[in-house]
Amino acid sequence: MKSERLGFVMIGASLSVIALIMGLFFYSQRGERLAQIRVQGVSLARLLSSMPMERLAPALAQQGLLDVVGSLQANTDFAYATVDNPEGVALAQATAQGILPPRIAISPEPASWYGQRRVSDKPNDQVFQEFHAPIVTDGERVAQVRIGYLEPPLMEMGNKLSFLAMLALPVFLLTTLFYLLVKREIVPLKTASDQIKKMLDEQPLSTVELTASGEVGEFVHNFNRVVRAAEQRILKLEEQSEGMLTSSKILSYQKARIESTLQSLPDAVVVMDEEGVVTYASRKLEMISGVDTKSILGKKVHEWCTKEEVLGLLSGIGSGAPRRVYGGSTEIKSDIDPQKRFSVNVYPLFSPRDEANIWGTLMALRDVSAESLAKEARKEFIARLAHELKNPLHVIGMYTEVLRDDDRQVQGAHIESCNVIQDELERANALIKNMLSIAELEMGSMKIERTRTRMGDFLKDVFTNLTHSVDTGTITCRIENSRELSSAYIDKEMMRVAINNLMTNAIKYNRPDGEVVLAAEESDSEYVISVRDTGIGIPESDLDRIFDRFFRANDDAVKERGGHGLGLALAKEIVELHDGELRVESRHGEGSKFSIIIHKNSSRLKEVV
Amino acid sequence: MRKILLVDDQPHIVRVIRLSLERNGYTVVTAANGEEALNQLTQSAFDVLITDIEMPRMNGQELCNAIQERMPEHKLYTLVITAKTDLELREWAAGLGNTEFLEKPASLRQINLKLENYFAEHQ
Repeated sequence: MKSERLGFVMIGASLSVIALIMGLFFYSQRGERLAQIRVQGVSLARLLSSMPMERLAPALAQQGLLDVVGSLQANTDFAYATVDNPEGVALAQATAQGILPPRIAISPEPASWYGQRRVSDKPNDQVFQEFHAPIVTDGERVAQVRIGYLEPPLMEMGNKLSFLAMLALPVFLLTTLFYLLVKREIVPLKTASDQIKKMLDEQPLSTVELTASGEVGEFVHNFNRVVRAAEQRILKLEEQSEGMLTSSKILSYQKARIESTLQSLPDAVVVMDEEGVVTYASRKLEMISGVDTKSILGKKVHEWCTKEEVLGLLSGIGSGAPRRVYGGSTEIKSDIDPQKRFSVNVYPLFSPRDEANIWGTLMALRDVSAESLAKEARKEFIARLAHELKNPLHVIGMYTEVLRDDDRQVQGAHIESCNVIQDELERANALIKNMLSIAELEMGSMKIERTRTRMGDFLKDVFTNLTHSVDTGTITCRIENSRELSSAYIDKEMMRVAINNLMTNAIKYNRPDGEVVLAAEESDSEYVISVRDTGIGIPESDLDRIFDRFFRANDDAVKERGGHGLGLALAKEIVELHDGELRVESRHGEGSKFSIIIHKNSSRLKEVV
Repeated sequence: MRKILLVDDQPHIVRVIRLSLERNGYTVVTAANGEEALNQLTQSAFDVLITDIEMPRMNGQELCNAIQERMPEHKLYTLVITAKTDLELREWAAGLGNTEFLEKPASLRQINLKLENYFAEHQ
């Protein structure tokens, strides 16, 4: 554990500090003593060297000076004082207890007569600081004074022990105290910090598992309280968040349902807020009007709508007037396709809570082209019918006036009037029937009913009926190839009308003594029923228009012969209902040939079905 | 002698109007289209022109315009009888001067009345 190591480190450190202090202390102490020794030794050596010999080395066992010196120096490091002769024999000696002065020679060089040296006495394991001075008599060295001091050891406990103890103890105590403090406060702090860090890194919020005392323990306890409070809060928030998520999901589900409802409406829908800014537009808008749905979101109306009528309807928005009810509808033409018409309906949207509050506008667009065109077609139809009926009514009216006149009139005039009236009525009737048929065919409400028909017999029947009911005048009518035909599935009545129309045209638009031929041919794939005439023909420029309703060529020869321009249109509709084709070949001034082509396959298919 | 030029491409109409007018003492010359009518105008003088609009070879409008251009000396009272009712046509008729407009179906009575009134004022 790191804390243990720390403790050891601290102990080691403090011990080494103590050792260092002590070492320094002792070193300085020693230094002082050495200095002291030196001073003493040198001065003593000199002093003694200046003494006469007799005082130093008395002959008898008298106390020499050395002994005095020795006894005086009892409490110091004094080790010995000797006077040696030049050969090194001691002449007088005074030593401290237990000291044996080492025997060494002194160099005869005068330069080294005075000096100081370190002498080690290995056998006795003693080291001395020796100071020597010569005793000079008459310029000659007669003896050498040697004063020796014990070199103070590096470490000497002695009476310094108590001081050291006093020094060491607080240091040691402090160390221990510090260590304990660390162990108690900092280590748990570190543990707590580690746990918190781990918690932040890996796990979600958790409490710190730690028993500690003191400030850290208090801190950890409070921290854990914070953690628990936070956990509570988080739980609550998570619940709330889940609740909100659920309701948000529900809302967006509802929104999606509403939007899909809006999208599936037949009308295109645009919703604007009270400023007129678009907040929603259904996809149909693009299909209907070509305006890109996404591009208009967030824009005001006049930025994307160029139609005056629509802008007029929407002018009530954002006017600031508190409860101004606006709305209405209009019809506009499409810019893209001139055939298309749209109805635009504008409604104010009232706030569900407060009906007095208008919070937006709804604009609904509908493609009413079909209805619009139908309306126009209806108008046209009625106008046309009325127009066409005016002439017959004109004639009938005037002849009726004649009839009403008193019998001044000749009998023949009466009869003639009645005939004319009858004719005109029939013509008017035919006109009405034709127009209604065409209208029904176009609306798709007329259905053909196919029955199996023997074509040869059928055509013969049509031909006979027609030639007997219509005044052919000088025109010769013939029928060809009617016998070998097989059976086909056709609507007899309708096909009769178509063939009749072709034949009456052929007779009407013919020249005097001309010819009309009804012919039929059969191949593997189709029937071809044709009506040929030697009549006035059709100019090329009119060929593609002759099947149009009410179309009559701008030709005098045509205009002189009455007609409404419906016969061919009706014939074509009928043939096409049979999945067939009506074709024309013609040379202006020579004659025309109309061919009804009925495909066999389609009728066979219908047979199977 | 009150001479009337009657122009219409439908023979039934021409016939019945002619009979009625002759019965009321007018002299009637008929034409089936504008061309024939112009022809007649070059040959005689008429007091009144009764004409349809929708005719082949030269319609009523063309006829009246031609008369104005080529024979302005003919001061004809013109009666236009037609199934067409559009505003342009009426305005054209009004612009002609001395012209009245009758919408089909019209009656013999109406026609005779118009003529009576005209001749009452102008003769």
